[in-house]
Amino acid sequence: MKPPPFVYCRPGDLAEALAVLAEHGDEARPLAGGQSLVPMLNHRLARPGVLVDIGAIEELQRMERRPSDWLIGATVTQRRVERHRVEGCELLRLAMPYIGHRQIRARGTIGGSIAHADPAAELPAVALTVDATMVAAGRDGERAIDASSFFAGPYMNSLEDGEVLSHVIFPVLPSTTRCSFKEFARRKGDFAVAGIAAAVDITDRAVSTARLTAFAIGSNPVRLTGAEEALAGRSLDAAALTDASEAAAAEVEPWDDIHGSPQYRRQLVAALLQRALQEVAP
Amino acid sequence: MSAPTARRVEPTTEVPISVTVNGHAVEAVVPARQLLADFLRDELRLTGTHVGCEQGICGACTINLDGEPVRSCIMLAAQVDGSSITTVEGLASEGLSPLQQAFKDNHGLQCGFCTPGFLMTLSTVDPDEYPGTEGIREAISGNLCRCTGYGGILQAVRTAWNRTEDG
Repeated sequence: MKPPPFVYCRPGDLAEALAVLAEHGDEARPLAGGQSLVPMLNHRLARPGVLVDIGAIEELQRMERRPSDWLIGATVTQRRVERHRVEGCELLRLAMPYIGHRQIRARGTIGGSIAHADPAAELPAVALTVDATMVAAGRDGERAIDASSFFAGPYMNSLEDGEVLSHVIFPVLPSTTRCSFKEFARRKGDFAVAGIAAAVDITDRAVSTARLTAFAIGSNPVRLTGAEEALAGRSLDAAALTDASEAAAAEVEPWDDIHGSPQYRRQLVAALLQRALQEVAP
Repeated sequence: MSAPTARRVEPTTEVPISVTVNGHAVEAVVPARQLLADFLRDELRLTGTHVGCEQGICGACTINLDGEPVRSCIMLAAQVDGSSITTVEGLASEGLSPLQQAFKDNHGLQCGFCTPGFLMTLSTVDPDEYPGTEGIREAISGNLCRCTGYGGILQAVRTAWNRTEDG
């Protein structure tokens, strides 16, 4: 299994990369860490004519704590985020160890994983839960895309031809927000069969805002709005946890594949949500 | 028309790279589509890096790239321009490294196919980040062994990392 032939370049700045991408249209693909794209090349599931390696572009490697958010460049590696701990972005930190293995995180990037939009990937779920903003760079400038409209189906995003995901903005959550990340896979590091990302704001022992996301159960991660509503204003006692889990199991429509039936995934969603909420309960 | 700041970069089928491999400077022109594992094995004749699954699952091709364990079957040789690589051949200048000796002494290998990948992962990570036996399991979770079983490997790592069975 070897990649099909292609031509390759490694631009030193974003303007160069955008120029090449514009010139070659949908024949061209950006290459970040390559932890999804290179296996796809090896399997010949992807056959781009032109690979534009964005790994040498310094402006895509920024990682900045700003007053109310973190700006993370598209080619910042998952390993770098894991080491950094990203204070104020607890959910991002909690999700990191679930992404593949150490060897994958050493090369895999924040932007690559989000743009690849694998249904089982952790980072799209985190982005959706915390309302991250994806910033696309094109030849006409930058465009901000909300997480709720960025993911457009399995392995599909809403970037236009010629655009590159340049960075992602993760809001810093209030100190009253508690986060949990849970995932079930057959073996540690495998693709998730189901997972839950939770960010729950608790004031005076009652839930003021619950943001709950299920992933690896369908085309893209989904917010569990029924479960979120079931928790509003309540303390996280056993009854509330049961109500939320039941609401989640009822509202998801999991897909059926070799890794799990819809029925099984529904039970996983309920069980993982229970565990996540137990973890965030004060 | 390019933006005014854009220098012209032309995508090519052959890519010049400068890379340090096991301490030696290497200059080469590689095919754009060549995988790093194939460059190491076929061009540099460093056949200690094994190619197993070729899809980033088994870990047999793990190398040390700028201090991180990396799977060389899902990287292009063209991507390592300017980097420093250590392969299993670079682990010891003569004889065996303590980690290699521990694998030998503890039956940490049988057929040996996966061994270079385990060695490269373990020699690249910081043991302090992986406390206890659970930590060792986590550290080697990205490497698959199909014959020895992991008991001997765990024992080898405990020996090399000066750990007892309980952690």
